Amino acid sequence: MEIGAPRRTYEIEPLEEPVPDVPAEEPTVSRPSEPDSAERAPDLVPS
Amino acid sequence: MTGEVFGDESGRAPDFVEPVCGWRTWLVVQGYDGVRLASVSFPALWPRRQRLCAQCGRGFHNGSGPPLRAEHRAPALDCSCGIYAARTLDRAAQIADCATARFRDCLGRPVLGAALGLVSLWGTVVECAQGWRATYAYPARLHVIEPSGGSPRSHAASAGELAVDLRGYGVPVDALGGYSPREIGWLLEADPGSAPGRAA
Repeated sequence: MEIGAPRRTYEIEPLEEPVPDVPAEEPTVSRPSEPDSAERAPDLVPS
Repeated sequence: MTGEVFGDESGRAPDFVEPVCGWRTWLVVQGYDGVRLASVSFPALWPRRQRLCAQCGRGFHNGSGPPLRAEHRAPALDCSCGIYAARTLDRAAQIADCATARFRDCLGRPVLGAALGLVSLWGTVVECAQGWRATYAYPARLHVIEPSGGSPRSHAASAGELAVDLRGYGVPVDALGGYSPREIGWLLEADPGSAPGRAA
């Protein structure tokens, strides 16, 4: 995605991260057999 | 997330305490554990209820030329790394226009559709002319688009079905089937609650 030339950099440290809590009835432990390495891949944007 | 340092590594106070909110397009793919969001321009799946963390392993500016630095914390001002968001919906919709028509699979998984939406960005943020690049991101609101282009695919799902499946992200999700991304842009830009930007 083209977003133009960089202008400035700043640091944002939210008082509370905007990530919803995991519901108690919704476990997120993945199965050990799953190849999850790709799911942790960085979000780089090639040229 | 081992070794991550949240906030400014110098230890100084952050500049802002509210995330930036910008527009993005995601692919909707079939994951091993259900329907997931994926980046369009890079093979990355977005975890549910966990922030996505950017890392740069390239050390190249614009992907060509000599490396500027062997490695650095993403995003860097003089690199193209980071998690992207656009300032305007129109720019994100340009990508959505072709996303489902162009991509049949992502990370070896079928592409089921696409979603336009708002994303929260924080950590180190590089502000650019038409958007931002950041260290951390999580979707804030999702609008699922009907698969488009080409012949019908056997794994295509309706926007309504995908919207239900994407509820696992824990953010508002709706289906905007029957509209083009541009038309969705007009609809959403009429919604004052959907304005992106830094809410500090």
